[in-house]
Amino acid sequence: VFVHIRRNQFIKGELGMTSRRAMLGVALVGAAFTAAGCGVVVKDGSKHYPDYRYRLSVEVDTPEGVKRGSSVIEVSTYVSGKYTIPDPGKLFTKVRGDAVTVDLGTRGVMFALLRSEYSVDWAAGVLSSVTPDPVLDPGPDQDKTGNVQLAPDKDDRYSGLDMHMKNILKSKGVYDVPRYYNTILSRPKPGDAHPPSYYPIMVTFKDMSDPKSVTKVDPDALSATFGKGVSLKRITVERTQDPVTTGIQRRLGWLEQVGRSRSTLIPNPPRLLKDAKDPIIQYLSPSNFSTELYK
Amino acid sequence: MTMNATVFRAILAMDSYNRGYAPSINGVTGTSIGLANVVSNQALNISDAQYQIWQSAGFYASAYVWNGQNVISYRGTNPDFSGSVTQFYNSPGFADVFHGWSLGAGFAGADQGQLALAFYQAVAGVSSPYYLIDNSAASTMLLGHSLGGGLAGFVGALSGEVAYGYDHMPFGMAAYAQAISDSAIAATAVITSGFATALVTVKNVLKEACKPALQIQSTC
Repeated sequence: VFVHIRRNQFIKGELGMTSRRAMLGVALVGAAFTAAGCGVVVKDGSKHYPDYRYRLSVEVDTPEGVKRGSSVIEVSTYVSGKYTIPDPGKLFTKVRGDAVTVDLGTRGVMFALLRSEYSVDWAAGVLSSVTPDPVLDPGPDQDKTGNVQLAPDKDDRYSGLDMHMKNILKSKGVYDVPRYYNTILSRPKPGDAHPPSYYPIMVTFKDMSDPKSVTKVDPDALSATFGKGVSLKRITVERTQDPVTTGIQRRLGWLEQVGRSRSTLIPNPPRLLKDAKDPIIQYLSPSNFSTELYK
Repeated sequence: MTMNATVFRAILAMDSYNRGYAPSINGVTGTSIGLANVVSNQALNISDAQYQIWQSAGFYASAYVWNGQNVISYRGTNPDFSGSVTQFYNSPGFADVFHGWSLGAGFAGADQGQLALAFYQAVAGVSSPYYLIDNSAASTMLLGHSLGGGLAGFVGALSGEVAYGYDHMPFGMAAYAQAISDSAIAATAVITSGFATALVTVKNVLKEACKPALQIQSTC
């Protein structure tokens, strides 16, 4: 059997890679034994911030009054070090928790998921995004227009993130989640009137016992799904010490079983992303409802 | 405008860093990159529970159809060498070292190697990664950077597919070990499923897998 290995592209560099990886591996093992065996504290170039929890709440105006649902979500944050390959200083986050369930009585049940259309890691960043940074004391760094110029700290590349994480960890009060992204990196796509939505994906089920009946809910037109007089009042986040919310399977008993047998609520999604007519719904996974399904 | 194929392969090799869980760049939601259409991992019979295993093992790969050919891009590593040991054990990078780099040292059973093989089978639509056992696969190009390049080589050595690695991890010993292991499993079948059939299987697995593995190692 002839093996189609392109030597020029593939084999080239094997020696260099081998030796580099080997050296790194030896260094790693050496460091592990040094620290574990002798109690040596290795200087910390990487950062693990304290976990924090927040309550994600969704309020819906209905003719029967305001309906609320909330979920407590835990976020772990880690920043890779200066010498990480290939992502120095990369921010890693991990979340635990369930989607928000809003019971609208006979009108149905709405779920605000752990992700947005724009970001799979939405639930990990929402409290961070709405937490304001402190007003700095104007000093010699203030420019002529009154704006404070923050000079980067040459000794600690993460000082800005440190400050922001401190703010998150001492965050108090309720913050509204903005309707749209408002950053220079998430401007409207050509032809779009708005930047990407900052709201979580919202869905409901025509039949709660049938995962295939999932349908998308338009946050700007809840009445189209739940009837006249129903509208989204607001979505908020608030830091909390309450335990992480779990148990969404009590409502969606099939969630884990579906997730173990296939990847999406609706079976057989299109192979190519471009062929999906409604990718948000067609590629929706059980883990968008809970991080705790397979533990 | 036509892009140089060599450059584009390198771009695709890096694209897997930006898709799926923990992307290096958030918001990469396009359905194609250049002339390559992105294949949905959800459409490849990878269950949601299996996808969680990917994350536990630090594995990720993305698939494309480029000029009618299947392409797989295996994500590389993102370890951290600067933290304390206790923190390192909790880091995402440790998953790569434990589950992926061990393959570079010749341990074919490394989780990421097995996940890479399974993903190849899912994309190519074959029951076995060995060409002589299941030759129904559509041609699939394998790409990867760093650890991902090693995974591409590992799968390429066993399947005979074209593979391109960029600053890649070694893979030859693991491919050899995998071939020996699979041959031993096939040999077990001699007892249970008939001597003639199993013998042919053993012969084919060894013939296909050991040769390229040795060929690769001889270049080091």
